[in-house]
Amino acid sequence: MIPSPQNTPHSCPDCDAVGELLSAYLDGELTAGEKEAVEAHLQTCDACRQLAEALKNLRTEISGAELTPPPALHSNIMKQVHRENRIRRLTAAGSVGVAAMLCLVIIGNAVLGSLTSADRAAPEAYHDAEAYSTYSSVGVMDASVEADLQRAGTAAPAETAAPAGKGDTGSLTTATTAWAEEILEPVCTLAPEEAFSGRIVAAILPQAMRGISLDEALRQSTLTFAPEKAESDSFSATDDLAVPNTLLKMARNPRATLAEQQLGILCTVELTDGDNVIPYVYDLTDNRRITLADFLGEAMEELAATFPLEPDTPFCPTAEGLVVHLAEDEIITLVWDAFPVLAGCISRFAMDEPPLMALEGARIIP
Amino acid sequence: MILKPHRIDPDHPIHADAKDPPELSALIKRAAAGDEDAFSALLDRYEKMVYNLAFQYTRHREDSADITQDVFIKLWRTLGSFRGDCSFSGWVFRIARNTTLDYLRRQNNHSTLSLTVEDEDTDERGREIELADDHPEHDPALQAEQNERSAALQAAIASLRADHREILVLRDMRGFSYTEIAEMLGLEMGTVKSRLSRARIHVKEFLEKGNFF
Repeated sequence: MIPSPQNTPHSCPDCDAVGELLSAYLDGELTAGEKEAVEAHLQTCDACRQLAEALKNLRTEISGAELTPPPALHSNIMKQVHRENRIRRLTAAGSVGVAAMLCLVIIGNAVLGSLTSADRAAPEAYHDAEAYSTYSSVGVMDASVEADLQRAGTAAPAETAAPAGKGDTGSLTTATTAWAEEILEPVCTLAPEEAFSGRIVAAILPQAMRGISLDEALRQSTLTFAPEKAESDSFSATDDLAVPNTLLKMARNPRATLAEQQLGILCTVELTDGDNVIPYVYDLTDNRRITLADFLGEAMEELAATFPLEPDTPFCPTAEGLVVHLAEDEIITLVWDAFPVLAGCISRFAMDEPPLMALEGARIIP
Repeated sequence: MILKPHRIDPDHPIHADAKDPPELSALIKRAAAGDEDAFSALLDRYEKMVYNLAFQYTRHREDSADITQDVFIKLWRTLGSFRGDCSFSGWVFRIARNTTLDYLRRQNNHSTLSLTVEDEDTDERGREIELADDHPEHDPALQAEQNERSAALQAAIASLRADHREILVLRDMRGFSYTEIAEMLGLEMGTVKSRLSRARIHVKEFLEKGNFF
């Protein structure tokens, strides 16, 4: 529809129609036919020409009104992206749990072997059904473990009995069991009256998570291990040496497999004074025993050193993983794939009352 | 009449046959695989669009920066789910719009003007467009750095319906073609043309009534 030159944009339907097209005309977005019609109209209509000129100027003006984001915005976004990327990679790396679980089978046997030895001192403490089920819960039970328990005089409870060891790990675990028997004599023999009134509930963390090589761990972990003053009166300082010494001997075994060499040396135990059960971690990389709560706090601090976490970043251990609240609506769970032992331990303790964190200013999320 | 702001499902492709340029697709693929440099390049491309879209809703620079950051972190987290069956620009736009509307809903429960508008294009009645009760003159920092004319222009743009405002930003500020805008917004070309035309004329008349010309 071609408007007549006499019409004005506000009074003529043709001008109104052209007015609708003027924007697209200025943007070069009209079809050939539309363009031809508009141009013909503009040649004859002053009002529409003025409107076209005004819209053209306005378009230029609007384009100049675009705001430039703050200079720091790009880098702020990329910092957060970088942080999440690192966590993503860490989480992915943590999922290399197959090897870790295999290692746990090996070390689990060895630790149970140590229990067999320690059985002379405190059989009930180590070989109850609950300890058995704990091992099952972290996936380290196999036929040879069951044999260890039976040898120790405690039959595996039927309801928690795990399937027999599979062929691919059977020879390895058998060899490990035999080897463990060779080295079971603790460096420090426990006297019966110094019975270790706790029980081992879990064993080893992957070395990679501790950031230290086995050689370095062994170099640092001398037999001059100096136990801290016991926080409970029901066990002695000597007891503190039993588990780490056994683990050290195991790690130093010349037949240690490559998988074992990838391990750090850390075991989790429950110590009890009769009424209270406290989860502890034996951390041989640092020659110490530490409460699980403090250990998790330190782990969080290590995370904070790796990632730009704020000092008051709230976090909470759960059975699924370490839940880190990076922001109000940004929650990341570092899965326990790389912490199978802690997962087993935390699932026992965190359900009712999560361990308190040691990170300065940390807030516990209920 | 108060209605919910309209949302677009980011997972719902607008045009199944839309394609991004190979070079852009490669960037997206690399970024989805964790390549931070590639993501930085995507950020370069779309940061201004997201920021300006957010600003046209919030009228606050800081809020717009926060929204932009949220949008790109969402993009980073969800790039792996981008299947390429809609344009990447449209995907970014939808996440930006939904994030902005969510932001406004959270922030402005007490200070939002709920504008009921009639959508003449779809004959949908009573759709609500949220507009923060924040005009440029309420933002001292913004006011200080803008002269009267540019403040008037921003006010004119702010007075547009949200769906017209978005098109104005995409076309006149970011230079997207009508075809791209139609794809991004899931509109017919004719709708894009008419909305843009009305938007520009509205801005022109707003400025004229305010004696800014």
